[in-house]
Amino acid sequence: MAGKFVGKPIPPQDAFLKATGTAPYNYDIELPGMLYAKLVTSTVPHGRIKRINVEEALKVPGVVKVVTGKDIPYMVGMYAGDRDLLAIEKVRWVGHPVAAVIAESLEAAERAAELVDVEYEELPAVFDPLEAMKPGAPLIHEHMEKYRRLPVFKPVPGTNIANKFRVVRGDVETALKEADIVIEEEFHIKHVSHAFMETQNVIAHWHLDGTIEIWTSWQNPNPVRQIMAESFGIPYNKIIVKIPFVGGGFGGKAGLGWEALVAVLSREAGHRPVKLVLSRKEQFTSGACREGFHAFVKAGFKKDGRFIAYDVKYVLDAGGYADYTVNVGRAVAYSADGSYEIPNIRCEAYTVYTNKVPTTALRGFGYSESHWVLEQVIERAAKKLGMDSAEVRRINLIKPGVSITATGERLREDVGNPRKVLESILQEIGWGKPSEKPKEPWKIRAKGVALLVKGPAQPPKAPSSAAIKFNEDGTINLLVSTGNFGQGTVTALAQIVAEEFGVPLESVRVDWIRDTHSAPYSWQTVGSRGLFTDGIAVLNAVKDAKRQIFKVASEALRCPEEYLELVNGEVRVKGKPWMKIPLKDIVMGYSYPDGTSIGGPIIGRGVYMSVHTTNLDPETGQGHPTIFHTYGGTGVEIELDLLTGEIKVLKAVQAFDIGRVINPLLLKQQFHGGFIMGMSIALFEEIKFDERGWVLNPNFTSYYVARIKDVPPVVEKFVETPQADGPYGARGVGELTMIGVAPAIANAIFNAIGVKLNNLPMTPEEVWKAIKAQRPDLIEKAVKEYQKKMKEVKAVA
Amino acid sequence: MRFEGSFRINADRDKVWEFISNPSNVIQCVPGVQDFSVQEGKRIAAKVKVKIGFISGLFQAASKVLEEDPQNYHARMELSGSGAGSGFKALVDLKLEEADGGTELKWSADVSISGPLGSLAKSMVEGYVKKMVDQLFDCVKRRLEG
Repeated sequence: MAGKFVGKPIPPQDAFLKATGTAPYNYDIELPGMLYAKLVTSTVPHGRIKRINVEEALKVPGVVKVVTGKDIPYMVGMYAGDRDLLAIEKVRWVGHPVAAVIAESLEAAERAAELVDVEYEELPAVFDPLEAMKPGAPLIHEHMEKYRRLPVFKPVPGTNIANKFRVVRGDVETALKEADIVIEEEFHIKHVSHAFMETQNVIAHWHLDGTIEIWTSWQNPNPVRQIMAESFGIPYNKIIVKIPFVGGGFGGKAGLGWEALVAVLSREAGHRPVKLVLSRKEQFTSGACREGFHAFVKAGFKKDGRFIAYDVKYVLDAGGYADYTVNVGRAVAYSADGSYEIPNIRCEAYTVYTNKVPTTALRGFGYSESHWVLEQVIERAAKKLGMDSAEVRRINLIKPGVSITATGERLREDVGNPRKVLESILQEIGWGKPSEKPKEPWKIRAKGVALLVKGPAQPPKAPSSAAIKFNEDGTINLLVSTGNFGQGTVTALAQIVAEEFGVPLESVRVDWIRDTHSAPYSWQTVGSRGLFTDGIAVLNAVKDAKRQIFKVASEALRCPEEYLELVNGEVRVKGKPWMKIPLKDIVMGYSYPDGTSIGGPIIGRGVYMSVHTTNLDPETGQGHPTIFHTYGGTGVEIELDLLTGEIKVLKAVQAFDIGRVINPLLLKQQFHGGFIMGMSIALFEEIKFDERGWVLNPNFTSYYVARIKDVPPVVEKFVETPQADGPYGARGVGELTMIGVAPAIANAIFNAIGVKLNNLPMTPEEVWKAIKAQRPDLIEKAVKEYQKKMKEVKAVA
Repeated sequence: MRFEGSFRINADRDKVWEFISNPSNVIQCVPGVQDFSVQEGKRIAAKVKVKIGFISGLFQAASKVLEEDPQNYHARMELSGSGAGSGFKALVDLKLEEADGGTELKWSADVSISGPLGSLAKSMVEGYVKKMVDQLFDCVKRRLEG
């Protein structure tokens, strides 16, 4: 169905404010009487706090209070519940907040924070999760059994394992014995930053009557409220969370933030509002990042290309706190099989504490890690089998309506068409056709492909709701708590409403501010679920509002409801377009010529509830973890400089089966943005730690993020296999667009020269070292070519 | 990183020992000190301005005496601190010996530096430490001899 708005390339509703620099972000907000907080952070990776001397800090003019962990001994969290507001007794990483100074100005707070004197008794520290898992390793959380965690997570008290999760299906041992070839490898990924433009920042005001007002740069207001209410035992309606424009989230603003801390600081400072803004350095050293990752794999294939056994152990380096990373450890395991049907599978995932910066969700969490491994395994197997890797993918791809996933879920008929995704990438990238020869003979060009699938990693019960409120002139306020941090979901939701009521798009407004007090509940805006879950809630709200409107119109027009239709903002009698009432004359109630009125203000409400998802079996991980599966993939053509190890992406193809395109412009932006982020993480990004756990590159001069010069042309391929229960058939896609990039690049290099790149990021140094170790002949040849060329150049000169 | 050196001070050994075993005398001689306080057990907390290469900042430093042996004119102390996103820790050994009517101050230090500062070239850090120590003992010398 081609709509008036649905399916059209409509710019995001907030684009004008953003482009003119006038959009109000949390960072810009100042409240009357506001104080400023500055954190004092640990300088040792693991230690007991012997004493904290705040005397000198309190002497700084303007300082109101210095708060330490002892003053506010609360534990908070969403999943693992393992986080203190400020270190209580013990610090667990360099950067762990130990105290907070509250002052009349940021300058005074900063000056005083430098004067807080903390004495530590250092404890043995552990930085490598594999070491941390060994018996006798220093214990980072001695009493994790006492934490108030979600019951699905299984810590192992007495160790550093914050969560252990398994997915088991079939008989992997026997299948490995029956396999014709076995691929055995290790893969590793370094820590990366979310690198959002707006660092985490919070304003909290604990009012005298106990109402807590929060302004924060977060993805969705409801989890913020939930964490505070559950941790402090405060009624939910006493906490009001407001979120204005957000300068990027990427999962790093989804779990536990600073709101609970700043709220308590406000109370401690005499109930005045307090603002905390993390500097970029603090974001790197005290905020959370994506975990470090290790995978140990055995994969068995038959001669004909069938993938019959997959045995994989994942170890996640969670850092000092693992509140959200325990969930990453689940997602990485239940996504291990990707787009393929693998009959025998065993995945074990361990989320492990270390004395490093804590970690959390990052765009596509778990799935990025599992696909980095899986998609390279396919490529390696194809080479060993002497087959085209595209053919190995075709042979093993899931079949809608038939295949069963690693968690035992039989995939629906309308799950999507991964086959079409694969073929469209292969065609666009010119699979099987050689690349053009580069001018410099020491460079090579190559093509690589990776497929992927993802659904939202969420608990089985994760509802959404929406309300549609009409104004006197017939314009509409759409009330949702869908996060708006750059994806543009709310524009798509507004398109749906405008389409359904036949009103101009400008008539539908979604407020800038997400607010727990006035917006209907939605669980979270994460996992690429916003358009799907909140879109269904919006459609149900539309249905509810229409029902009310038709009831009034039916009476006013003296016509049964089934003969009415809504066209161009008017209720009309079908086939008699002159018999009509404009919406504005109904939505506040309809008045007859004599003044008597019927109906009343229209408010439509709608909900979404996940009905297919279940808990996963604690022993085998069997069940239905996600509400949809979006299949997709990335193809790249790269150029590799054999002299320097530098990889340049020349062209990229992104293809996803999004079910139904609601807004091709926004979709295109996601395809491009996701590619850039995926490429940046693939080639450049790494948080570097020294041997005592200090972050060596806590800024954007030494932590390189892709610049526009690094970005190749990106071709978008939209595959549309509608999902019966999706809004207009749509599925989510936001995070997915970065997941396939890294394995596609690594596969291109493996295809061309057989060099395995098992570690992310693929920096020139890493790549060069891998070539030197695996194919030194290529470097020797490249050097000769280079010398020859230089001689020619000199001769000409 | 290990550093060591010695200084000659034209003053009686007991006088030198008395001077250096008073932490507030020594801390005032540390170049770049902006603020300090002496706490129980001769623990010193100080603010020191540091600039090495392109990294500069205010360091919060502390020293504590680990061992003091007045009979043998020997002391060991631990210095630690942080600033500019980096941290350091040093174990310092001091010994006074009589030498031609004056005093020979022998010192050694094992220094470990963490964070971005620790990733700087060793020669850059060594140069800075040497300069700082020279200035420190010059000051001690001046105050004792003058």
